[in-house]
Amino acid sequence: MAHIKKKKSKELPPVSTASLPDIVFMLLFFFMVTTTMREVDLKVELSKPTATEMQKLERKTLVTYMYVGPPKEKYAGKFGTEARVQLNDAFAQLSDIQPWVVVEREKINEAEQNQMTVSIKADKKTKMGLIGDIKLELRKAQALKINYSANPAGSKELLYSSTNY
Amino acid sequence: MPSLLEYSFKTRYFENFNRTKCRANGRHRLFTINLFLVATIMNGEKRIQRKMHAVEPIVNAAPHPKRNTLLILVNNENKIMVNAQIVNLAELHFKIKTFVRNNGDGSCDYCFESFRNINASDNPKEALVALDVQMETSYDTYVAIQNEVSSVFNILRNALSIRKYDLGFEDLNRAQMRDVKAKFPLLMSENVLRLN
Repeated sequence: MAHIKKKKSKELPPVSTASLPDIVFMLLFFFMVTTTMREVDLKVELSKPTATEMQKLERKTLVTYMYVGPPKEKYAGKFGTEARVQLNDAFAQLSDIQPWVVVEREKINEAEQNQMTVSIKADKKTKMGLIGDIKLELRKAQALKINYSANPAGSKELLYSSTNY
Repeated sequence: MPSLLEYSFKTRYFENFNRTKCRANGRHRLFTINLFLVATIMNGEKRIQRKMHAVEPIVNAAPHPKRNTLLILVNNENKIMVNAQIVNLAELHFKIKTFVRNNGDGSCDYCFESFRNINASDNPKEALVALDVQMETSYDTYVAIQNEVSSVFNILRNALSIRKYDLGFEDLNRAQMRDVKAKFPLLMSENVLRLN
C-alpha cells in the first residue's frame, strides 16, 4: 500500500497579521475619543499654570481663544523674546484686540453674542502688566466674560507643594 | 506546537488572498492616524471663569467700606500679603474663607454663628476681595490666587446648597443655583499697580 506522505514545509510559517487591522482601528478609535482638535497653529511658548478649581467649557462655540507668551524659538529672531499676544494665527499688538473681538463676535449667532467668552491661554511666566493691559482692552471691547486656561493639578496638596509662595 | 502557529496555518490562505488589498488599506490607515496625531491634542480644556465689569466713568465715588474689603497685595517677587502679613496659599485660602463667611452685622441668616466676628466684615453679600498685583507679578501666581478665591466660593456655595437643598452645588437646578450664588456673590476688584 502506497503511503502518501504529505509534504510539509520545513520553514517556520509567518506570524499571522490578520488581527493587525483590529489593533490599528482600536488605536485609532482610542485617539479619536481621547483627543480634541487643535484650534490654531501656536506661535508662542505655552506652559500653562496649574489650578484645581476648574470648570469644563459648556458651549465651545461661544469661546474664542487668545494666546499670550514668548514667541517660539523660530520666531524669536523676528519678534524678540518678550511675551506677546497671538490672535488667530498671527502675532498682534494690544491695539488689535478690540477690532479682533468685534470680528469674533460677529461669528457667533446674534442671540448669543452677549455670552461670548474669551479664553486667555497665557504662559505662566507672563508678567501681570501685560495681562492687565489685555484685560483692559477686552473690557473696552465689551468682552466681559473671560476665563483663564490652566492645567489641572491632582490635588490641593500637590499644588501647594509645587509653588514657592 | 503552540496554538499561534496552528492559527497561522489556518488563516494563511485567506491572508494571501487579501494581501495586496490589505497593504493598500494599511497605508491609508497610517495616513489617517498621522493626520489625527497632527491635528489633535491630548488634554481637554478646563479653565477658571471670571466676569469683568465694563469700563465706565465712576459716578458714585464712595469707596467700598474698608471693613468689607479684603486687600490681597502681590509684589514683583510673587510674595502675597494680606493684612500686613506675608502668607502662603493655604493661609490665603483660610483668610479669604473667614473673611467671606463672616456675619459681622448679623443680617446673614445662613451663616454660622460660631464663625461670627463682629469686628470683621459685615456679611457675605458685602464682602469684596480686592486683588492688587504689580507689573512684574507672574501670571502663575495670579492664577493660583484666583484659584484660591474660586476654591473658597465653591466650598461655601457647596456647603450652603447641601444644607438648604440637600444637593451639591453642581446638581442644583438653575433657580436654586442662582439663589445660592446670590447668597455668596463673588465680588472682586482687580488692579495692576503701576508703581515701584
